[in-house]
Amino acid sequence: MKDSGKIKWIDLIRRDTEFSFSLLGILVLAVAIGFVRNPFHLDILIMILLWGMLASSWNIAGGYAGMFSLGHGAFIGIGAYMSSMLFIHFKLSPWLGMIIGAVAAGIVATLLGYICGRLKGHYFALATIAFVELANISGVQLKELTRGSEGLTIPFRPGWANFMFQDKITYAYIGLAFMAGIYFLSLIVERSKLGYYLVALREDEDAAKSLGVDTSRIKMVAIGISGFFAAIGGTFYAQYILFIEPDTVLSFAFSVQVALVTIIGGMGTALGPIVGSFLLTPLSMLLRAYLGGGLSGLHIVIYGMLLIIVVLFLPEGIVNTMKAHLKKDITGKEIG
Amino acid sequence: MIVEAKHITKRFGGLLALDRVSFEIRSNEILGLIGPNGAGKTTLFNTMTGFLVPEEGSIQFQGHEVRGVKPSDVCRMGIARTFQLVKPFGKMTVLQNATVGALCRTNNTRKAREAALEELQFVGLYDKRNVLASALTISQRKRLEIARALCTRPKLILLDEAMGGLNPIEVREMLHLIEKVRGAGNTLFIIEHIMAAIMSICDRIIVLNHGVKIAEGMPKEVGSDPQVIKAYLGREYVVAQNRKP
Repeated sequence: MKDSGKIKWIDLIRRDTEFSFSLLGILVLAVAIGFVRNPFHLDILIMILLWGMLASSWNIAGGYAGMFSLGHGAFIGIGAYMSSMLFIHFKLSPWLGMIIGAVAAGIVATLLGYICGRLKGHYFALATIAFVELANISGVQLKELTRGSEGLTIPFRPGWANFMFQDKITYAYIGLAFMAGIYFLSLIVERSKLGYYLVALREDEDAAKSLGVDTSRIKMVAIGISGFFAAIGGTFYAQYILFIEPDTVLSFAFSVQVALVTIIGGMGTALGPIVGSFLLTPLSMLLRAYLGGGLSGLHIVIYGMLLIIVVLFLPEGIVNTMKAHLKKDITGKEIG
Repeated sequence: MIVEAKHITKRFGGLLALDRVSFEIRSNEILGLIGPNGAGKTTLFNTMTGFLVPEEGSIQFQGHEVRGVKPSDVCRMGIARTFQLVKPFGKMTVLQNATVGALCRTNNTRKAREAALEELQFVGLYDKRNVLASALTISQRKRLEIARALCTRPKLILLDEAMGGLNPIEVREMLHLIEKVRGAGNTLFIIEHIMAAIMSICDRIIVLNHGVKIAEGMPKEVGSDPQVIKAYLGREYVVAQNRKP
């Protein structure tokens, strides 16, 4: 009778190797952060954690449920703008603003799921592109609220209440906590009824329906959760950079980037988005740092070529390819 | 009586796919549905499972109206189905496939997995439980569809060509499985093109032609019905039947 279907943490850590290894990995990262002194390296690390959490949020709808969104920039932007505007105009703590922004983005995402849920595959992706463009135009045009293309500068008043810090290392720890949170949430979702339903929906919608899965509702839930956490990442970005504009946080480019990080790392796996971010974020930042000054655009060309190579040779993403190899090694044949 | 369908009519533009089709399904029977290609057999299944909403008519399942109910809710009411073109969740293991079905009756994944394992045992796929569904043979996929359907604890199961594409040995095994499913207390409604198979296993058979029910009865009666022979079976079938000792 006490079996309530709830997942017990202790059980997960004790029995689930993926869970215990992940916990170990997070602890190692936390210790490692303490040793990074170089501010540029610390900056890279924080951006890795930021893109890791953004891609992990995207992965819940885009990876597990196969809802290939190219509009997540809108949710990131809603989070960033909501917390920043509430802070600037109403002196509301960005921590609270972050929650409000996340709820707002979650609601908008759920509505988007309701409206675009019946669109399949590429058509859904196209609709989400239209959606982020709409958000971008709104960000540019609603000058009284967002200051348009000028962008919003968030006044720097460091302190825990304001979610702003003198030292980068605090950002790194908060980023790690956020990324770990979404990562563990993904692991829990993977093992839950919702996780089964998301993957079933991705693999075959009609079969899922015939087995009692209310697919239109599951789609709304998936993208709602995804948008909620993407917005939290948006607030983190705003608090760290202290400057937001429609062409970054409300952009198609951001939307593509979150999808790209997940695709390279491995869609539909909890670890994939994080592996993808650890690979792509430093690559892009280092290329820009060392080649950005020379021939203009060279770093983007090289970045693009590396992406093409990865997609050609690891179309399933790094984590999925590794998992397949590991299983082959153990059993001698390819099994699930 | 588990199903009472009255005057089901479904139009696709100008095409009358189902024309006032009425029938009943009795508890624990195996009812067959035959007819030429394009007769409306799968369309009838789709109207009974919520995938299509008929323009007219009513489908009563254990006293509840099915017409207009969403597919997922129809499943919860106790009607399960398989698909003519099997639809496995390819990147999930066999066990995970079945577990999705079992989660229809519980929120507890552990309990669902246990129920799924039981059904996999029942259809003979237990040994394949950790294999990806995309790696199964066609006959294993058909079995997986049945296992998944059984996992939802249905009272009525609609099988859309569960024997299509199987070799004679596999057909025999499938017939055995269908009999076993009925033996477990289920009611079955099956579409099939393999005449010997459907004639041997069904208690009654319904014949559709151009969306109209043209015959209904025991397999023998239907097999000798002149209208059915003209529309579907053909003269060769009758000659072959008469030649049998």
